[in-house]
Amino acid sequence: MSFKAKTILLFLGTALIPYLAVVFFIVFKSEGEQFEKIKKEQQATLKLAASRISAQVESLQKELLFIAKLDVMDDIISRDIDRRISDILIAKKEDLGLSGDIYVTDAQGMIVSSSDFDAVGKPFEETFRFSTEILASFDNKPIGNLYLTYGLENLRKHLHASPQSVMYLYDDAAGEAVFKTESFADVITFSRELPAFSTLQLRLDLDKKAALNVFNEIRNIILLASLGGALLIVAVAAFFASRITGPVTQLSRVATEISETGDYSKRVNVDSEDEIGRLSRAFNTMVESIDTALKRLREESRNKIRLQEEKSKNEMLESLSKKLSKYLSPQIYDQIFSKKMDAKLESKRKKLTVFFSDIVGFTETTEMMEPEDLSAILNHYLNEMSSIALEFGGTVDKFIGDAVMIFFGDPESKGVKEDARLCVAMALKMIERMKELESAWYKMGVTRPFKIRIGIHTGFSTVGNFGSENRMDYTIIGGAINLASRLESISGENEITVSEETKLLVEEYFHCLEVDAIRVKGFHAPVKIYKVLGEATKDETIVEEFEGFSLKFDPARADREKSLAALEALLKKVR
Amino acid sequence: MRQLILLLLLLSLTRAGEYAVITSAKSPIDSLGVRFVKDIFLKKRTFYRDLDVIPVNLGATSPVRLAFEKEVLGMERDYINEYWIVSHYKGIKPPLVQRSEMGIRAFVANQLNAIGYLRKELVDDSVKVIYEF
Repeated sequence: MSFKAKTILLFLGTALIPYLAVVFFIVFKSEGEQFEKIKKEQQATLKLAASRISAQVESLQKELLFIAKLDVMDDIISRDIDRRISDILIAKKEDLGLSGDIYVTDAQGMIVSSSDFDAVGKPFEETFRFSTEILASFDNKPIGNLYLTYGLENLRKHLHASPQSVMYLYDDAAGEAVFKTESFADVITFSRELPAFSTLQLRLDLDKKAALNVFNEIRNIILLASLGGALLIVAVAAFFASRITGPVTQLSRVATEISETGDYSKRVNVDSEDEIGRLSRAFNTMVESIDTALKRLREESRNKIRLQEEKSKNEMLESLSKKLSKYLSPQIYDQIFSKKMDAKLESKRKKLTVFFSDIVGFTETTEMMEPEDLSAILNHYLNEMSSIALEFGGTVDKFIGDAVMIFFGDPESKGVKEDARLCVAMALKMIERMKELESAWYKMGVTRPFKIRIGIHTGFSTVGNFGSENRMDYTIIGGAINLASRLESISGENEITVSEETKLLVEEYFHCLEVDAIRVKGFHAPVKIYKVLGEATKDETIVEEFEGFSLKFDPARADREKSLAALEALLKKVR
Repeated sequence: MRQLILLLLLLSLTRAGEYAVITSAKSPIDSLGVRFVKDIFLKKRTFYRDLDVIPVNLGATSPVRLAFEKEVLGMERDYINEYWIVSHYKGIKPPLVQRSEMGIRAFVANQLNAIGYLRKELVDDSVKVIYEF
């Protein structure tokens, strides 16, 4: 049940039910009382009529007594020859408006005088209501009697009648009603003795139906009025209930709307100062704070999502870059991702050590092998090579078929000399590794093992990004590369051929043997080429340098006799 | 005064015969003197021997009564009125009144001790004349 319905019920309960209870009490419970009241009223009417009759009879009697005592009554003796008594009696009858006659008789009972003139001279034989003795005024001796024949007609004017009742006389002796003008089917009879008339009763018949009809009419009016009152109460209850519950309904509607639509900008209209008004205001405040909190939350979550997106983007980038890293040398990768190097078309001149290698007779080998085996072995080979390059910090520039191009000195350089040393050390390691791989491949069924040749040159090159804005390549260009490539092409199987520039940089670490001098396109002078024999042991080559002193002895190269003579000469000089 | 009354009595006697004072035919009274009649009608005397007597007058306007007052009572009407006013305070009421001489005759005839007066020619057997004037 709704709050409004409850409130209406409450109003009706507190107002309508007591109201209806009172109305029903008045209408139904007091019905008996009302009827009693009507009865009492009727009894009072009866009593009043009886007392009026009594009063009339009494006054009549007094009147007659008065007449009887008049001196004129002495005229009985003269037989009312002067009609003085008659005059009085007639006047009195008229005066009282009596129905009936007054008679005066002498002591013998003969009518001497009467209001009914015809009766005079006859003996009095009428039934009478009243009689009194007449005494002579002079000696108080009875001289006659006064009689009154009192017709019941006289009482008629006292019989009060109403639509719901009839008053009449009841003759006990005869057992019949007199002057009963109306008869009702269902009556309540009230009766009252008339002291002046021994056999007569004054009766009143109350028509129950008519009496109740009057009452019913009143009851109907009351019921109709109370129906109007009840409707008024209901209307007032509904009005006040809607006044009270309206804000609550609005509150609940707004709350529902908010919960359904999630629109926290909605507010409740408040114009009352009562508890509901305070509740509405509190609700508004609450919704407002929720709205604010929600907005903040939304902002935060948006930020979070953005961060998440950025993060996933980063992660994607990271994984992408990881993939990319395989195509790039780690140095470049690091340089790019540590933002030390911008991906833009720019280049610089730098002294680099450039390494070239390829597989001897690769084309012939490919012709003899299944492509699947070939690619597996090639990949294996390249993988191994690039691992070694990474180990020594070389920048793998590119793979060209079976050829590998690596340079040292960019993006990171440990110094030209160190770069060159690392490059040569790497080349040695590669050859060593190739020998290991050779046996492994042999086991896999590669009967003709791969042999590599390597060329190394140290010289100025242009390093940087080359290409277009959309597609660029980090690489090196310049004559040094050509020379390195050339050195490689003329190198022998599993041999490392270096230029003079490189040899000078690494000779203290590696044994190098001059093998030839070649002419290279773009180089004016013939280029001396050296073969790296292997790592120079420290105790073999002695290098001592301090201020004013420099000594270098390479047993591999130096002539033993000449060296001894030079040292002896040096010792003598120092001593 | 007495002489005057006597004179009047004489005068009345001389004119006697027109009116009669009557009583019931059965009354023991047979004749009364004028003085007696006057005393009875002035209620100075209310009985005759052992019989109460009741005077009966005519109405005040009756010429017979005027004659009676003049001839028998010998008093003016004013004087008579004064007399009865005084008597009223003594508890004495004036005589009964009958409207007509016929009434007087009937009353006297039926009432043994009543005494009235009327014109002589109206006297019948029911009454007897006890004085004439």
